[in-house]
Amino acid sequence: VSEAIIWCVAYLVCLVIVGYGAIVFFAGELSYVESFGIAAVVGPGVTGMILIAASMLGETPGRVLILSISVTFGAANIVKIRRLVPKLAGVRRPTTVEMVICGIALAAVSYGAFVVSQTAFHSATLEWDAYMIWQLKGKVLALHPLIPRPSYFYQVTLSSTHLRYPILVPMISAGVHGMTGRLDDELGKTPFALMYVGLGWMTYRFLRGRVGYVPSAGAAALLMTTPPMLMYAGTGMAEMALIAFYGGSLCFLLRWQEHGRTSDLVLAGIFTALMPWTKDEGIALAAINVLAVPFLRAGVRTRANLIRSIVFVAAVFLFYCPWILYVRGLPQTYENYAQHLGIVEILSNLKRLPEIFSIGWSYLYQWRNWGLLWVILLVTAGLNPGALKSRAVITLWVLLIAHFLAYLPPYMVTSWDLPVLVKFSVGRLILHMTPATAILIGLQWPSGE
Amino acid sequence: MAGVQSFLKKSGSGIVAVLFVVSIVMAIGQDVEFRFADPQLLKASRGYVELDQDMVDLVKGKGLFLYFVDFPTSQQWLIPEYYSRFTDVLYPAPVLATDPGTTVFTTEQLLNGNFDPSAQWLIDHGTYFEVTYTWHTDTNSCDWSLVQVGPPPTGDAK
Repeated sequence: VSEAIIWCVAYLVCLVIVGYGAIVFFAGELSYVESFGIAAVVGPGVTGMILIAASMLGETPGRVLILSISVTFGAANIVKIRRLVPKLAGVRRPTTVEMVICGIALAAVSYGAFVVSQTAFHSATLEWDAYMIWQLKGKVLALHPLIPRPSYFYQVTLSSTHLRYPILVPMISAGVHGMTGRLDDELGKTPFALMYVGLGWMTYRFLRGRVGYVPSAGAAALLMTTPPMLMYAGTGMAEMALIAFYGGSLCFLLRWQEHGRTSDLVLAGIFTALMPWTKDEGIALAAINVLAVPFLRAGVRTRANLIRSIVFVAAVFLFYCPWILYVRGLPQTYENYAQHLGIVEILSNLKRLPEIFSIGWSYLYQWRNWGLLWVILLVTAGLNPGALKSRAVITLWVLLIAHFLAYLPPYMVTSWDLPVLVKFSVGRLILHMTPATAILIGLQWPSGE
Repeated sequence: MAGVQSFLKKSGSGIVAVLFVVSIVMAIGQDVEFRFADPQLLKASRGYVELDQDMVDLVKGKGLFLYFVDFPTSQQWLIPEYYSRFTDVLYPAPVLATDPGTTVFTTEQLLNGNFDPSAQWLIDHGTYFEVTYTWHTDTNSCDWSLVQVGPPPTGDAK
């Protein structure tokens, strides 16, 4: 085992420690084991954002800085010591059939964790987007602080790296380089394998609090083993981070809808605020969350709920402002979708919709791409119509449809060759919808009781 | 209605469980095929690692200029691949294929700006190596040649 791998693993441990520290006041009664998934997703996000803040103050990510952050957040755990494992008293033992199906789910997830880790730790960074857009920026950020602005951001010969793209994912990777002390093309991807495992565990634990063993394990396994997830999660692209943050935001928005606890809304806010810093699509997803929050507890019209909703919206927006300010004045040398997203331009391109649907559908229905994920989503809805009485299920369907609609306008206004653009991007965009889909499947899964 | 719902619920859990198992088998089968059935992919992964390291060792932190000759339209997709790969692998050393003031976002921009620079130009821009990729239509293959210009630089790359 090389020294670089040891430092890399140490970095991953630091990320989890930071994650536990960041959620210490919001995790409620969840034990460390139960909240591992949340910590494994929040940790890289919070660490990345602190490293970005430090970078704006002139510091590059290094061992001392990263260890200091993790020690500080680790100390926060002392303030509120929680149980290591959940209380098992009163928990129903699974039946034999349940154990068999859960065993299959566990085997599937183990396969996923193995291949994603193998890609993250061992494989070359092969995906063009991964090395040219995300990992190259990671190397830049490992060597240069954000202020003064590195010459990279003005190098128009590197326009294809999308100079103004958000930098949370590159900064998470830059932390690996800072910790290992070298620009390592392979290990920069490893934090996303951690987030993959974290998303799976977080989804399982969220569903387990509401439905039985089989729906929880089944839905989590379906999420973790969709072919595009297995393909992209460990490649060093921004997809894994965005999906993990989005999945986390959904879990805690639904918890807030159900219980009305401020702590759940804060966690949903943390996940939502991290999304725009991850990918431009994260802006659309965060906007949907922001629009949804005031309506989620519309039945409970209290002043406190209204204030919480307003604070949520304001906090998410303000959190993204530094990046809006930072990119002002940087060269805009690639397609700027925001400029074209006017109502007139969208309406004048409505004729593109059939082509977009046609190409998207041809990708969506292929079992090679998705297994039976979409079939199961519809079958569970059909077999358990009673689930539609649940506010959580209705909310997820609305968010899923809103999510789908939000991704259409850029295709309608793009100046790229539409079939080529849809073909290369639709898989990843649909992948962003899988957390909502998996949670829906879990909630709709007929109980058989 | 309640009876139908109850029936659907009872039989539904079994149906969904079967669909779940089938879906998992299909998804993992697809991934295994993608990952392990194609030896080219496995070879490409390790090949990239070795090629990347060869270039890093060769260029030793100095800059590189890429010049492309006679690439037919059907093979021009390779040009941004080479450019991007070297840009990432050799970072922080500069990798150029055009004048530094040229915007390079599309393959067309890269091709239009590509030229064969003089030795002095290479030295002035900190690109002490030039790799020329030439496409041979008769053999449908690509070969490359490397030229080092100027005195070997002593400090870090620009």
